[in-house]
Amino acid sequence: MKLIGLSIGVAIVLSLGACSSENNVAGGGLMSDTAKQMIAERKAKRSGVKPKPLSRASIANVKQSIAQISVPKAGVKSLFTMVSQNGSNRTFLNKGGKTFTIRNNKLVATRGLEYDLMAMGTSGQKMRTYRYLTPENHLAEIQFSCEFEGQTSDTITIVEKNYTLTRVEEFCKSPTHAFKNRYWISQASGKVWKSQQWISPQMGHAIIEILNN
Amino acid sequence: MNMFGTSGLIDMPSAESQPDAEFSTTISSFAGSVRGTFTFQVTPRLSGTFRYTKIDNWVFDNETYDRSFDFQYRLLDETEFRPALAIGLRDFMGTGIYSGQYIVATKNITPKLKVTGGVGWGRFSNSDDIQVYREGNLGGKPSIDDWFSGPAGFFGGVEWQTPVKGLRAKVEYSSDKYAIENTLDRDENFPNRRSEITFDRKSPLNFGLEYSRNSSYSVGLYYMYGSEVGLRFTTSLNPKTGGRGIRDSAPLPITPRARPVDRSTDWQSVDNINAKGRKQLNTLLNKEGLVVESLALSANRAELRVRNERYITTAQAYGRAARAMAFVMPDSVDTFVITPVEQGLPVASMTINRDQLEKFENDPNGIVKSARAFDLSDARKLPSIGELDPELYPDFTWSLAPYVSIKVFDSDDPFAITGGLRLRGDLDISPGFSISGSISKKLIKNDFEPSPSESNLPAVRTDIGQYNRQGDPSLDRLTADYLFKLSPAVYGRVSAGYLEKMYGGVSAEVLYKPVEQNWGLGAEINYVKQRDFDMRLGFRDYSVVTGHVSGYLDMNNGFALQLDAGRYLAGDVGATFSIDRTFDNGWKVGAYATLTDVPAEDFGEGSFDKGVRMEIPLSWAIGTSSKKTVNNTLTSLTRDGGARLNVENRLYPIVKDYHTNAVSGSWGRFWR
Repeated sequence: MKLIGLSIGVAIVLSLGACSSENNVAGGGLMSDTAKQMIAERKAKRSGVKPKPLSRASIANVKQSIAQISVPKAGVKSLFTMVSQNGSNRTFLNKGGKTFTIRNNKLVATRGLEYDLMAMGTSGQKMRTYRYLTPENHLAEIQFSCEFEGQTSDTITIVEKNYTLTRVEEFCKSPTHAFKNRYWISQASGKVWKSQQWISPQMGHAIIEILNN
Repeated sequence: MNMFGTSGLIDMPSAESQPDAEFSTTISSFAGSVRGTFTFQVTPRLSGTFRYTKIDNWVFDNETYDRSFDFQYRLLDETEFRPALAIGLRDFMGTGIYSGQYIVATKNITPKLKVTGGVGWGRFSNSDDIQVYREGNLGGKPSIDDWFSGPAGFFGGVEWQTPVKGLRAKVEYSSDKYAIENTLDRDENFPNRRSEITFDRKSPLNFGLEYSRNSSYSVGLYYMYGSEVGLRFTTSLNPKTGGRGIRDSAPLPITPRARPVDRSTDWQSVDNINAKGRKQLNTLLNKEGLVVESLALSANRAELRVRNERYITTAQAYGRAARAMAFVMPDSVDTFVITPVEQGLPVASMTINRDQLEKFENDPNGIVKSARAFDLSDARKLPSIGELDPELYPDFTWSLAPYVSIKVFDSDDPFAITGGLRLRGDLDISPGFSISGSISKKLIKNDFEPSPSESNLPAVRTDIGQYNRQGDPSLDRLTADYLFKLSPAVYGRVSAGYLEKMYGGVSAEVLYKPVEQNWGLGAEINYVKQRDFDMRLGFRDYSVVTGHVSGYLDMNNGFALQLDAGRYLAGDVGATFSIDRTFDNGWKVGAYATLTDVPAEDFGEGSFDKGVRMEIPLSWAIGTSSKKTVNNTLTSLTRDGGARLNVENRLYPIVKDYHTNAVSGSWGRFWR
């Protein structure tokens, strides 16, 4: 019965993706705490007040999956909320209208960047195919061969919380490009709390920090 | 790049080509002459050049500026043992001060050293005896008889990549004697031209240093002909590789339906289900530049008609509409049909299987798979259960905005600008039926005025000066337009009123263009009367029946052809041939020529109507989607032969962007 009432997902999309909160057709009752906080932050920004940095307290009651994602080359650093799950693909959206899709801990797509990763696929243990659009909108792909290397123990902090995790590095090469991804993994649960993953030649790396579930 | 803005040494050409589709702009100066040059690499082998020259105290055929065109074609590629070989025509049309032909070879001897040698005629002939002006020549036609004939000269040189990164040194032996520049010409028989001695050519040797750190610019400093210093600056861009990335907001992610899919259709009993659905879709789509016209929702199929107000790449409009449908439509709906509506005309229909849409979103090869799976067909009829959004018609919109119109590289003036305020109004009465008009008031006047007609033809266009002077404020246009479908693949248009600045009357057009076909056929007929010079409501005496049969062909290789044959405004009969290189991001670079039964003598200067044109999508420059383009046409002089009516809403450009060729060329954008 989707048609009869927009789901909570839409509420988030609308309140996060739009320029003004008036677009929130689903009404305040459905708006998530995260969304409310973001709107408050945006209002604060407009009035010249610096938004408060993220704190554990501010995200303690958030139900949706959230992540802090930054792309230094694109000047992106913000809070992202998971708004869609399609199979094992989880798509995170921020208030700037950008999305990152993660499948099995790997970044497989971006949208809203100047040079998006359209899709990423793996075959076997090593082979990776990254797909892009050229400025003429033609499909282009780069095939990489990847190797995991070294495991070291590393203590990192994600929004006031310390983790002792195993850091794994992954080297990928193609005839034209090469990059290194890093993953910080919990020994106990196997969960990847933080990763640094390559997007495209123009955009470089994204740093993804998972903030809750 | 050389001083003539083409691939080459210093003043001489080389056999190299620029990268395919490269668009280079060069400004160079030496010995009192300034040249502005645009070179476009039309194909990997063929380049075309337009040049605009001013020489101190010179007059060319009564004009201060000389315009010239070149072509160069690379016949052979360089191999390990063989040099690249190219043939070129410089200044093959127009008044011909730089006319010359050459065959040239270039070979990379070592990675750092390049050698070029060639033989040339005309300007390249190393001779004082070169024909540039011919008595009674109207210009505008190639003088084929003189090509590759007469004395020949040899030229050549070397280019060395210095150890300093980006810095190159060049030495050349020039076979251009600059004979005209070394002659005082004040022939009383030709009072409309004059050349003066601009410099003293003491030596055939030129030396230069060039610097460039990337492909987007290069600068050169030269010591030329033993007496002069030359400067050159070139900047390049490429529609295929350059431009800003598109930074549109991310599309809605697709949330798949829960499995097993809920087949319940209880929702059908809800009142005004189509209106509710339209409203929810609009909530999502209006922010994305799309407007829902109608929705026809049945148990497992939803047909959406939607206006695209933002995406020049229509695949993206289809994609965004599909994502919104996946968000809003009840689970039992398995099939989405998206019919874009342009100016009230349903132009195509895309049928999408919802399961596949959900599946392909994150499929590593989803772009290719979806291109095969989603079906594009001629626009479907609106199902009987579908209803148009009653709020869309009638709809009145207006705008008051400043405008500027810039005319560049005219033979009398490199840059002319007019501007002012323009009031526009549009009343959409029903789908396809509208009344629209515009009035403008000039604030900056710098009007272009062609030399008056000397021909026997009625002055159908050469009176433009009168209109520009007297028509202020002017009624630019006021028409009623009706666009409609005769059959799934046949489109029609009827327009009546003040069709354009200089003519009013009635115009009717039909177009046959099935969606999947790469060609179309059209016909247009108009009865028009010339408007009064004051550009108000009155008419002058001249009236004419004018019309064309048009053929359109997308050659599927990046080139598009158009042929329009028929009767022109002056009653002359003939055809216009156009060719454009088209890029899938909306760039277009092309040329056209019109030949009619008007003899060259009657046509006047230029001999026949021709021009080059260019269309740049605004999105390419600003980095967000927009349907706007920046257009520039460089034509020969305004004359009365081969003149066409400028009626708006011609059908082919309205429909073709939604058809298979255009959509599949940019298919990846469906998913952005």
